[in-house]
Amino acid sequence: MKKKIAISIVTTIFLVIMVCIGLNSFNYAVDNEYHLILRFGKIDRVVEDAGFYFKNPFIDTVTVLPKEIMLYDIPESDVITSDKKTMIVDEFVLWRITDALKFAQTLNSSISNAEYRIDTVVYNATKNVISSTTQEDVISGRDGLLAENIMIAVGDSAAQYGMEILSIETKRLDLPDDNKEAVYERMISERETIAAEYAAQGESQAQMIINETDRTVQIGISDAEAEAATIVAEGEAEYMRILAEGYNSPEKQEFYGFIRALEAAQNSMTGDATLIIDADSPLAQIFMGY
Amino acid sequence: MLKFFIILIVILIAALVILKQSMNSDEKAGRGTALRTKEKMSSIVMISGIAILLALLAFNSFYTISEQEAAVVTTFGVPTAVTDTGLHFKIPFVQEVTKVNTTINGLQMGYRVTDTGTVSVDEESLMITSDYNFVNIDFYIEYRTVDPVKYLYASMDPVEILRNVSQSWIRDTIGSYDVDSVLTTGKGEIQAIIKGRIIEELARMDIGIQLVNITIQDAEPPTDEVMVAFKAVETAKQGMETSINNATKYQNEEIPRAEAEIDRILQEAEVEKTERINQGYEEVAMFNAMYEEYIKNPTATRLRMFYEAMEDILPGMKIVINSADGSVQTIYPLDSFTGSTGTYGYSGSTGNTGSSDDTDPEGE
Repeated sequence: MKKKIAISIVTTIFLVIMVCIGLNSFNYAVDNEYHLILRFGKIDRVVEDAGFYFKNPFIDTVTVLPKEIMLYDIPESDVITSDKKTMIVDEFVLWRITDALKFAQTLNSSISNAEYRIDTVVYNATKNVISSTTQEDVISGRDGLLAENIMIAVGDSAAQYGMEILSIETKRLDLPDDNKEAVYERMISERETIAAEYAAQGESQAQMIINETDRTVQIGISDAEAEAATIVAEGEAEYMRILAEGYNSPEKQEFYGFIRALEAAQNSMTGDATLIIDADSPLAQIFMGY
Repeated sequence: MLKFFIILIVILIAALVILKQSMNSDEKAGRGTALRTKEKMSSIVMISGIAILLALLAFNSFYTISEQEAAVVTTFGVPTAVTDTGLHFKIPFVQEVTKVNTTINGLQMGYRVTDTGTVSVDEESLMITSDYNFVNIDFYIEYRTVDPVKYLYASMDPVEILRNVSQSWIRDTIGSYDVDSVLTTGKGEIQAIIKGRIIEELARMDIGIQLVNITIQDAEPPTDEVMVAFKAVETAKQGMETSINNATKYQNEEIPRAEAEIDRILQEAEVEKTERINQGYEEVAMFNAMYEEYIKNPTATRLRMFYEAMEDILPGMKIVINSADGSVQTIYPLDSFTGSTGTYGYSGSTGNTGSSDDTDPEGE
C-alpha cells in the first residue's frame, strides 16, 4: 500500500519533471528577433528565422537580439567647414544587426555598446567630410550629397561588428547661437536695403512718367501752334489773292486807292488834330476855290 | 502563454492523479467517508478544471478586426497579415494576434498643439535657407500603415524613423531655396519635392508605413524684428506701385487735356483763316458794288465820297495851308459845307483877297 502511494507520487513527480523538461526544449522566435543559443555560456548557434525551434533543455540559454532596423539619434556636435565656419550638426543613423554572432562576440550583445561604436564612427566620418566642404555647400550642396559622402566615408567599418549602417542623415544643421544673432541683424539690414530700393525705384519711375507726359504735352501744343500759324498764314495768302483778283484792273486799283486814302484820313484824323497841307493838294484846292 | 496553458493542464492532471491515488488507497483501507469526500472533490476539481481550461481555450481562439484596423497573426512567431474585417478564428495559444491601426495619422513638425494653444518647437522649425537666412517653418505630416507585418517587425519605431527622415529631407530641400521662395512663391514646389523624397526613402527602407501628405502650415521670418523688416519691404513695394499709379493717373489726365487744347488751337486757326478769306470776299464784293456805282458816274461819285469824308473829318480840326510861296494860311474849323453858321476866315496874304465875311459860307 505504501509502496503504491509512493510509486504514484514518484510517477507524478516524474511526469511533472518530464513536462518541465519538455517545456524547456522548444521555443519560438518572432520575426524581428535573432535568438542566440548559448551552451554553457558559449555561443552554439543563431536562430535567424521566425518560427518554432528545438533546444537542449536547461543546458541551452537564449539571448534575444533585435533583427529590425534601429534608429539611433546621435547627440548634436560642433563641426568646422573648410572655410573655417563653425556649425552645429544633429544626425541620426538607421542601422541593423546583420551578423548576430559577430555582434555578440564583439559588442557583448549590448545595444548601447553598438550605439557607442556608431557614434564614434559616424562622428569621425562627418567631421572629415564637412571639413572638406564649404559652408555654402554644406547648407545647399544637396540632394543628399552630404549624406552620401558621409556614408562613403563610413564605408563598412560597421561590418566588423556584425552591423550594417543603412543611412546617416542630418536632421539639423545650425549656426551657433551668437552667429544666429548676427544673421538676424544682417537679414534686417538686407530687407531695409530692398525696401529703400523699391521706394527709390517708385519715385524714379513715377518722375519719368511725369516728365514724359509734360514733354509730350509741350511738344504737342508747340507743334499745334506752329501749324495754327501756317493755317492763319494760308488764310492771309488767300485773302491777298482774293483782293488781288478783285482789284485786277488799273481803274479798280485807282479807285481802291482813293477809297483807301479816304478811309485812312477818316480813321486817323479825329478830334483836335491840326492838318497841314500843301496849297496844291486837292484838299487845299477846295478851300482855295475849287 | 502557451507554456502557461500547458502547465495548467499538467497541474490539473497531477492533481487528479494524486487524488485518484489517494482514493485508491482509501478504497483499499475502507475509509468510506473519506473516499466519498474525495470522490466529490475529484469530480469538482475535474469539472471546474476542465471548465476553466475550456474557457481559456475559447477566449483565446477568436478575435475581431474593425474597419480601421489590420491584424498580424503569429504562428509560433511566424507572422501573417489578416486584413478582412469581422470575426476570425485562430489556434488558441499557438497563434497570437497583434492589431495595427490603419487610419491616417498626423505628426506635427515644428510646433505642438497643446491645451493652452500652439507652441513652437524651434529645434524642428528654425532652419537655414540657401542664402544664409533663417526661416521658421512648420509642417504637418500625414501617414498610414500599409503593411502591418513590416510595421511591427521591420523596424523598432517606424514613426520615429518617419519623423527623423522627414526632418532630414525638409532641411535638405529648404537649404536649396532662397528665403523669398520659402516664404512666398516656392511653397508648393518645396512641398512637392519634400514629399517625393520622403516617399522614396520610405519605400527603400520598407518599414511598412507610407507618407500620405506633407503640407506647410506656416512659413515666417525667425524673429519678430525680422518679420517687421520683411513687412516693411512689402509696404515699400506697395508704395512704389502707388507712386507709379499716381504718375500714370497724371498722364491719363494731362494727355487728353493737351489733345483738347491742341484741337482748340487748330480749330481757332481754321476759323481765323476762314474768317480772313471771307473777309476778303466781303471786301471785294463791297468794293465791286461800290465800283459798279462809281463806273456809272465816276467824277460825281468821287466828289461825293470826298465831301462825305470831309464832313466827317473836318469838324473840330484845324487846317493850315502851306502855299507855294511859303506863307501859311490857317482855316479855322468849319462846321459843315452845307450851311451852318460856322465861321471861316483866313489870315495871311495870298493872291486871293477874300473878305472876312462871316455870313454865308456858301458864297465865295
